[in-house]
Amino acid sequence: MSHPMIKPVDISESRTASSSGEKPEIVVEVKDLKVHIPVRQGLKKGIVQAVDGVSFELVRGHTLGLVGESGCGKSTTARAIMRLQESTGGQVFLNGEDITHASGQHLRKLRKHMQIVFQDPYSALNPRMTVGQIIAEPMRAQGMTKSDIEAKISELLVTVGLQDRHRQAFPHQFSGGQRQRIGTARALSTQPDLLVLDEPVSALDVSVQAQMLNMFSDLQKRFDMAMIFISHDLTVVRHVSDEVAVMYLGRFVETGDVAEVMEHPLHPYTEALISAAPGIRPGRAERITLTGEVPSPINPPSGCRFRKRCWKATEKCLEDPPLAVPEGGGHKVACWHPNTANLAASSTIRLGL
Amino acid sequence: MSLLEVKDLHLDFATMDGPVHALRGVSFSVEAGSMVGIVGESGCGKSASVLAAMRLLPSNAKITGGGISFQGQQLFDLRESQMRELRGNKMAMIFQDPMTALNPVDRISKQLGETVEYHHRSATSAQVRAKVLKMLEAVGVPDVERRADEYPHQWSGGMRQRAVIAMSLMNEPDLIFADEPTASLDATVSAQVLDLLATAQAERGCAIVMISHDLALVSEIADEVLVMYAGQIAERATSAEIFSESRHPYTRALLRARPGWGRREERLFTIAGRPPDMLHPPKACNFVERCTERNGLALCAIEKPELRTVGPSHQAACHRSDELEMMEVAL
Amino acid sequence: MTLMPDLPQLVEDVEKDISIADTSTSIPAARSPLSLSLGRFWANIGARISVVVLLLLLLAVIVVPLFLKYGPTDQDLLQSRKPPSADHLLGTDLLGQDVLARLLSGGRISLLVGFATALSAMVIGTVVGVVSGWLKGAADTVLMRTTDLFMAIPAMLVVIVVGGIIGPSLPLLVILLAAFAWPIAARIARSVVLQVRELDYVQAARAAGTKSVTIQVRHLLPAVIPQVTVAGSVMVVGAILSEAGLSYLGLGVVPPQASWGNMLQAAQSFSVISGMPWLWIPPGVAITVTAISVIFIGDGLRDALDPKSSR
Repeated sequence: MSHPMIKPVDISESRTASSSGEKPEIVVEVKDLKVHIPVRQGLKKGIVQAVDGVSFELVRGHTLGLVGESGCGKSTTARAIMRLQESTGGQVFLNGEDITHASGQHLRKLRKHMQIVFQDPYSALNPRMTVGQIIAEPMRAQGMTKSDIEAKISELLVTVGLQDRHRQAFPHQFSGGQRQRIGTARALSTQPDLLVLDEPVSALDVSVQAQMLNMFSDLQKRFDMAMIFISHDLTVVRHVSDEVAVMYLGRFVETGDVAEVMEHPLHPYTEALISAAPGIRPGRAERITLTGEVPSPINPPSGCRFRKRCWKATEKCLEDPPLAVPEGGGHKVACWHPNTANLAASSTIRLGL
Repeated sequence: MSLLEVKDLHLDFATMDGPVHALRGVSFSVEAGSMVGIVGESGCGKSASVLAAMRLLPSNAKITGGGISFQGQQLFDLRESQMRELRGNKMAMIFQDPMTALNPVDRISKQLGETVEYHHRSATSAQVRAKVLKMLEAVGVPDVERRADEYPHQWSGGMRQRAVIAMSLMNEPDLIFADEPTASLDATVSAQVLDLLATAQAERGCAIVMISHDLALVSEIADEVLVMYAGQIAERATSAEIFSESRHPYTRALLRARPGWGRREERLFTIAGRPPDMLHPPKACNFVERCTERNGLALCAIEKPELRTVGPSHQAACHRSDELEMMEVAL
Repeated sequence: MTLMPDLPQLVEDVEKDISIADTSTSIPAARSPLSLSLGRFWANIGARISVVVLLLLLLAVIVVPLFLKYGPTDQDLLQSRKPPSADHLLGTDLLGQDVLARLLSGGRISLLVGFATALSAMVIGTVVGVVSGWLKGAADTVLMRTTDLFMAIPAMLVVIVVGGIIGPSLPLLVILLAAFAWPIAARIARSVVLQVRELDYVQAARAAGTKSVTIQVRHLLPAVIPQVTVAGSVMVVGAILSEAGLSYLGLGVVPPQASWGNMLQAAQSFSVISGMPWLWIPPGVAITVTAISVIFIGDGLRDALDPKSSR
């Protein structure tokens, strides 16, 4: 069965290959990123600490899965990196350049290197534009010539599993999955170094989901980008990511190699998330059911932000735990009481994070 | 006699392009006190079947055949006033988005109280309030005395869904329809709500019909699972059977397409093509064009397979259901 | 929860390359959202009749006067206030001018005032609303407070005072009426922009590095224009009625030039109203028919542009 995605159509520029031996090229580096948004709730004023001190780096060819429940700040983190949301602290480096305060013409040119695919396939495409116009938008913004754009649209449509004649159609004629393909073609049009996928399959049916996930892993291999894949669904993240970062109330609570984190979770919140996901899991024990819900990011609990829902919480947890590799090895976790059984079982693989 | 019996239900939606045949001969029954899951992708008719049973279909829907009986009564013969007596009393519904079921301008306690008052006119206000508080407590709302008098927007999503579940349980119904009750909730909260539904079924003995697009989620709590495809039932089995011994290629494809917890595959299994156009539904097997297990059988493109018994509690609509090999699905 | 299955769509041709010809029987030709909306609009009987009526009216006021025996200002004092006859189809007024000729000539003026006012108000309002909603912050505050100011000033008073000082003139009338009609358009435009600017496709345009002006023209304007047009239909009616009211006060269009408003004004005495209906029924009916047609068209547009009314 031939797959249109892996047809040998060369539309990527020749890039310096991150081949073996060479140090992998860091595409994105985030240092202590903070997004604090002032809000007013009735008469009370408060500050939503949407993202509060997130740091990581991501190399070319790797995918970072950002996992967490709604309101944990995973989308805000991505949008702050993309400079669609102003950050209030920390730094973002793209290909080694500090872009935290880039503006105007310079920022518009930088956007060529980072693109995003949105969650909702319906609102992501302007209903009044044809597929061709939609895909052309980033290329027009980046000043490509008309003939180059026309040729590129055809290639991109084929790349994402659509056909050239679809360029004349309007979004309302496509299904949700096809719309996500169009959105992906648009994001790929400037050959970005960083592609952010913000819950790209959450709105799709299971059968379509699988097609899209296959496509994303194909595209990454082919274009050799760095990808950030945001999802609330651990099984999805596990399938497409190399590394994973679990977020809770604006902070990373656990990061590491995806298989490591999923098989040997160290943070109680990660354990609970894995346990709550439906389906039959390997070595499934008693389900951990957390009490309560994610507290408001306005005035979050002091110390460990998870302590009020945590069954392991002690006096120690009033103190903020750092994100670090715990004693005895394993991957990074921000917890004073990591799961010791998993700590022993997990090796000390660390990739980029 | 079953609690709910759907017999050969046919249903059309009128659209600008002509009638969409949303249901084409759907039959199933729900026993008292049981938990049934209906699974399928968007547009497969799972919600339409349930709305038909509640008689809450939109105005462009038209029943073109078959019937539904509830506790021996033919629902389509009832007057609207009789139907109102049933709804919220003998049968209740939990929607996907709790905000659509709650009135934003009324206190939670008032809204729950109204469902009691509507069906029990003689109850005093003190009795009603006591009942409301007791029910909210039962669904795990903390500090009920104070929180019951708050407005829906002051409650979090999970708490609102608890309120809606409490509301549906107010009059001790015999049957509850839950349409994707956890779809708008976070993973850790959704687990709590599923537990709550399972408890309600076990302790109060009310039957629950749960609709979902997620087979794994439904199988966590349902006794029996119906898989729907293109307006018809493809397979019906117990939760355990559906995973290990599925006899329908569509169910099997759905299970395999899911990025589960088992071995991490390089490529996920995908289902080619798309569901049939329901304006012109196929005369032959619904799934024939996307089926990977047809094995060249000519019959599949000619004749529609009937839903037939393949095990004591297991039915499938596939010509090749007896020949399908066992499948190991690791979820 | 959606009950409606997807409308027939293009084939999902991913794993195998299904030719679109295989399934094209049920696939409608590519129609733009605009053409779909126009189709829905045309399916609305009331709106369709209104469009025809309005076009006939326009045609009448433009073409018919060319073939009339009398001009709108031809006076014949001997033929004063004569009822309809073969010579004067709608009779004559006090100065012996032909009512039909005045009705049609006045129609040009009234329709011009109505449409010119609405159009200018829509343009000003759209620009202010789009800029205000897109920029947010201080610029938004300044623009919106200005809008509030214009809404708070009693328009009629200003028109009467200014008209009294400068004297009645047609361009002035249009300018003054538009000056007090645009805030409505601005508010509508701004509210649409505030919604649309948060949609992912606008975010995608930003993420692509598209210039701010381009985003406003390419993504915001097309979403705003339909909504403002619906509001514009009400402005047309408002302007025609205002002109009638001002002419009634002697501040709009002044004789000998005719307008529907000043025709009504000339017919205000009790004896005329009770005894000479040919002097006030024609302009009254013309104003009413125009107003109803324009409002029906506005309603039709609103329904046609609402994506939820696809049935």
